[in-house]
Amino acid sequence: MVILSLTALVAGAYGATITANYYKFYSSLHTITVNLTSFYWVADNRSLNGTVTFNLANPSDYKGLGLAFFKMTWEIDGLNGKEKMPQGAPNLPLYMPRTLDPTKPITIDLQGGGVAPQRVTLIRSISGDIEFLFSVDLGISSFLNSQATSIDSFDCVSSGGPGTCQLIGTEIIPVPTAGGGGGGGGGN
Amino acid sequence: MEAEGEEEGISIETAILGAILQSENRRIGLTILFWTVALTAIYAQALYQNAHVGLTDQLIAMAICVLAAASIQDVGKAILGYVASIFAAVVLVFLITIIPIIISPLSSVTMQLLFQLWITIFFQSLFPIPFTIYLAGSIIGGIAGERFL
Repeated sequence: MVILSLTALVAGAYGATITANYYKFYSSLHTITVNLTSFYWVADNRSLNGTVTFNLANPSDYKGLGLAFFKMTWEIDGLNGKEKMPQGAPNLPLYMPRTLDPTKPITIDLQGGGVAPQRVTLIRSISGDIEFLFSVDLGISSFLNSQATSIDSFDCVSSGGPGTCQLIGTEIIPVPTAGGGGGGGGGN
Repeated sequence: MEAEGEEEGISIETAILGAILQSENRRIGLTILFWTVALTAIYAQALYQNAHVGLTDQLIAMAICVLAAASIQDVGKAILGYVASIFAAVVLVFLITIIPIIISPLSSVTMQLLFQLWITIFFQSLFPIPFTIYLAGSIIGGIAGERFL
């Protein structure tokens, strides 16, 4: 009886600590931030090149979040969005951080394709607006990894220099089991 | 004077503990309470760190079942105690699990998906093998308690 009560006390105290951390998990998914810290680009009639840098951070107290994957597509919007030029997914750097650490920036080289170089040069020559839209999906690694994947989606906008990023939604997608396909993701 | 007061305090505590332990029902009730707390804690720490209950956690849970059943000293009551404890532990862990989902800023679709996910995780973590192993542990503990304690 004494051993059982001591075991229950010790296990209870340890379980309470882990549970307290778990209670911050779902809200922490909503507090993850992506910052577009810098963006430089140059364009002429033949080429459009740029470099964009993102910083990721987990400002919450929850311990146990990491970066499972980073996906990005980008688009050039000219003339206040009247001229849209989707550019798809760029090549990502070989080394990607596995943590949401703001001291480990992610720098991506961009190369505009199709008609983008000519169009952008033309729009600039008539003093039209050029904006770059970056859609970022962060796969968040957590204790749920074996059962589900959490994805935070952000939209970032910049016309050069630092930009603004906004959380669009949090999605949780069950990992498909061997016996059958998993259910759909829940958007937010 | 102070020492006398201290001794008096200790003797009162001992008397209370003795009274609790002397009453069979109270003793079994306390055992079930500790049993539930221990199982809840084992399951909570495993699920909230790995989203599944591993072999080590299952062995610890089984050891707790053996220990708790032995302290009941009756096989029949140990089995009933096990059923009560595991039921209470599952209800407690499930409630503890879903409360942060309900109060989170997630959409209703995501919440529904998480409920389904956690129900699946719970069933996988308890049925059928772990439940049977813990039951076997409780029976072994109950027999050992009856014979040797």
